[in-house]
Amino acid sequence: MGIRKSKVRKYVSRVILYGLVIIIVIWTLAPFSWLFISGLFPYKELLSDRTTSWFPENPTLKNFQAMFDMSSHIGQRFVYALRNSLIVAGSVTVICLIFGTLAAYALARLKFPFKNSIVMSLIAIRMLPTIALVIPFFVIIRTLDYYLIQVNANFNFYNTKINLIILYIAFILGFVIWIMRGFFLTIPRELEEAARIDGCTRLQALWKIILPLSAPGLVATGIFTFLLAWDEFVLALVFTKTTNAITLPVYIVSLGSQYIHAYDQIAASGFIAALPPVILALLFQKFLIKGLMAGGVKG
Amino acid sequence: MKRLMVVFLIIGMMLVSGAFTALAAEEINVIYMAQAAYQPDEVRDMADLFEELSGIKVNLEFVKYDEQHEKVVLSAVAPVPTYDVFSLDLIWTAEFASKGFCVALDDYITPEVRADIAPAIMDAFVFDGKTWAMPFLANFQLFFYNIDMIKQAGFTGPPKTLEEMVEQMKAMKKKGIVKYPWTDSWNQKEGLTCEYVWLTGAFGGDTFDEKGRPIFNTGPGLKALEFMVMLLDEGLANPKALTNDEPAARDDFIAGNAAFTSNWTFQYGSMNDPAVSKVVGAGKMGLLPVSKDVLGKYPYDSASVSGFQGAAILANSKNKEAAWKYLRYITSPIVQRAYLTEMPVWTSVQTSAYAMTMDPVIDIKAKEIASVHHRPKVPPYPEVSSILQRYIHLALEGKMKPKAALDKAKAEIEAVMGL
Amino acid sequence: MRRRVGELSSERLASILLLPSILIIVCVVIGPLVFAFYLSFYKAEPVIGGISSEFIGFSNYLYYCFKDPLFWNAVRLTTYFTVVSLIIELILGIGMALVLNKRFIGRPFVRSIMLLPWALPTVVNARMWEWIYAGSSFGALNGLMKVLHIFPADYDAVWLGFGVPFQNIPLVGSFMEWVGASTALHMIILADTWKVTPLVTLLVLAALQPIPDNYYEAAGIDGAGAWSQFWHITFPLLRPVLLVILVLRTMELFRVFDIIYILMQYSIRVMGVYTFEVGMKFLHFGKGSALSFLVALFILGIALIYVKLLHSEEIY
Repeated sequence: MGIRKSKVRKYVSRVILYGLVIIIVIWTLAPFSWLFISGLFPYKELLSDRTTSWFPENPTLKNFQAMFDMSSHIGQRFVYALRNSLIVAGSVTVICLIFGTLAAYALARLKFPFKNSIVMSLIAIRMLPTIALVIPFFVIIRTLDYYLIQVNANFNFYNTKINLIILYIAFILGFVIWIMRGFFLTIPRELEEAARIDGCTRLQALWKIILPLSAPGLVATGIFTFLLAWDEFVLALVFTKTTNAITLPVYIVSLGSQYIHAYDQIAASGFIAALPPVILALLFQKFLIKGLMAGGVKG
Repeated sequence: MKRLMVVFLIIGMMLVSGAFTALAAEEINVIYMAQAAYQPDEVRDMADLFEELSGIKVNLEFVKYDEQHEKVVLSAVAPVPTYDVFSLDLIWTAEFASKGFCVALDDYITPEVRADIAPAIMDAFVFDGKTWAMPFLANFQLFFYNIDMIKQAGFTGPPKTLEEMVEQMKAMKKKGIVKYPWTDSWNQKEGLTCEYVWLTGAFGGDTFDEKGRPIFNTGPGLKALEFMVMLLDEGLANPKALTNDEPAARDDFIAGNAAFTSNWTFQYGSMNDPAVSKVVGAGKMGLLPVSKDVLGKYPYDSASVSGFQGAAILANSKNKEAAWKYLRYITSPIVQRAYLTEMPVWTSVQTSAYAMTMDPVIDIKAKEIASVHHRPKVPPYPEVSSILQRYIHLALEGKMKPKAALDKAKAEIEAVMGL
Repeated sequence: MRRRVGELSSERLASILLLPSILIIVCVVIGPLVFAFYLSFYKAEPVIGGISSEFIGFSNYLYYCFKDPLFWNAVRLTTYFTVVSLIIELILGIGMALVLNKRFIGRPFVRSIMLLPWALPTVVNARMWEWIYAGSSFGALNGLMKVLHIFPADYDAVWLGFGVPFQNIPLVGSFMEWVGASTALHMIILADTWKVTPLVTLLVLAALQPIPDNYYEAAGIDGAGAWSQFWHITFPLLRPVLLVILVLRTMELFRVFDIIYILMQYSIRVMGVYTFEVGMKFLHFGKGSALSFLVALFILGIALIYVKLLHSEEIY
């Protein structure tokens, strides 16, 4: 009798567990799946009553294709925005990793004055809201440009990718240093010392021993950086105006109008814009979770 | 380490060369708010033809109405030209002119041009005695009613006055014809100010006096807000109106969920499009009614609000001549004739036989456009409107009494304007 | 460690390695921050041909602290947004982690999909929920409510509306009104929570991993119930990670801008939105800077607590 009872109890708790898991899976996947399915709807069907119309009767890839149609205004801007986003996020990632690694190495391994205060101020800077710097940025860049265009009519920062890249680097670099420093600290000093006894300089030891060992950390940090830059909205909203520099977030927000809810375009472009970060995150999930623990960051 | 530095240098050089791109000499950038009748593709078509004719390349940028102000203002403040031509909403005229964001066009606009555009339209873009934009789009609000519902309720035709309309709505509600007879775009955005301006007009007044001082807290302005609150209290207006923007209000009407609404000209098209509308045939367009107390005050016994759009040239543009050419072209009678879905600004086009045959309701539109009230022409308009929207909305939500809300709004507006 | 002949001293090397990063951060972050502080004492506005500026001392700060009701509304609203989001995120996040920590078929898959909301760009997330919340019959949430018979067939809720929730409950209603909470705000909290909770789950899961099962087994033999197991074994081990989450999320939430601006423009004035409106829409650069600085102060205050806590907990 007692055995049967505990068996029943085990069975019930299994059922509850799977029930909960299913709820979690649906909760996590449903909204994004709906975004994708919405992208398959022709516009007319998109606006039909949802109680009966959850899947398109005439599914189409037209909405997605339209995003790459260079002959239309929507498509042209999308392609430029995608290109700009890739350039900006890519450059920011590469530069942040280079500078960040060097600085992180110094902060993790070398002895010098004010080390702790530098580390602490890096955290503090990471906490600063972008919004607090938008206004001074705007006024400074405006003034800089005023003099720059007097030197050369084609030199300016406003509405350029380089401007975004610099701003993003400044905001993300502190975070990169912080997280890389965490990875470096986990690598035993002895390995480096052994290399130095073999005749390596510090930088050679960094290049040959420490970097390969912290490759997972580098990958994770690189992805975080890419995501942060890909995601950024406020600065892009203020500082990019035309296809010369607009990024995907700015593009996606600009869709629709006072009179038209362009949900078909929003669904299609939103899905495509989500793909690079989502794919990166899923491919490198193992590194990421480790990195998340080390840095405990990114909201 | 050397390799690392080389990689970095190459990347840096690539970025610098790619990021500072030059503008070709004969090229203009245009920012246009994606709006009602002129769809992005139509504006592109116009631009394509212009490129053919003039050899000047036109880059177009479309943004949502809500975003356009910030976009233009931030580009205007920057010393770097990002746009040459932009679409100027009439409410920005005072602000942009007083801050020198755009160029006065008086030297360009010929007397013949002036003679063919109704003063009501042209005046919207005049500030400080100068004209700051070429009228491009003559948008304004109209009255939309569902004649089937009116007949079911036992009436013969659309209401002539607001009071009559309330009577019809009460009858409809009683008979269960429609749950909420009135819908509108009363969310806390610019649309709310527009609705309030025409309703104030319908009660016989304006929100600001000729000298640009707020007067809306007494008389017509107060009656207008009390009227809106009453519609909500009596269950005549859809509570959803408080979150509706213009397309949402249109959607309510064309889905057959409302008997009456006021909206911009664009609603006429979707109302008669069988693909989206459930009220084809029943949905009609007419003149916005006024209060019975002000019958006889206006030539057509109607009050509306203007939503005119002009095309203007940014002061930091490097290609002002090319910009003017483009501007003159897209606002020309020839182009407007080809796109009659939108009310033309030219008197000669409005009254042409061609337009009369192409647009059967142009007569109603012409009467309504003569009945428009403008929103206040004051330099800190965005702040003024934002305050107004906030307090009107508080009153509509029932969190403040109309009089108290308008008094506070007036006090805050006066502080902002330094009165 | 001994230094080789001809090799740089560790101070020299450190300064070379740190120089580029510090240079960028000082020029692009610290410099502008100081400049914002300077601007906040001015009345600065764009005029014909440039930006006018007039020194007005503490007027901007005095205006926001004592005269402007909107500022304190924004503080209350932002605090409410932060606290409510935080509570929901923590409860849901820990709950989900406890479930996913159990053994079941398909666990690796379920854990990996946790990364999806986290990786989704904020802007896409905002517009995705805007579409789900659409206040008409084509809105997915309205459809779902009708399919589940929670709503009658002819009713469509306006999810992004300004109704005050629990308005009729005496104290709660007036509290909601006082903080300026609305249905829209709560729906935005839900949308933001959807994106962030999986991150909390992943962090908590990672912290749960090292807890050996025999802890629980031993506790089970001792007759400890599920709740007391959680409270006495799990929770203490989670403390450090929860602390990190708590403080980081507080700051992220306090500076919220994107999702609210995208969905509601300026109609829900949290501090970020209000700053942006004053500075970038009305172009009051001085006033806007004062506001930015106040926001930064709030957040740096929280950051300070964070640094202190990290020190005391020895997480690093």
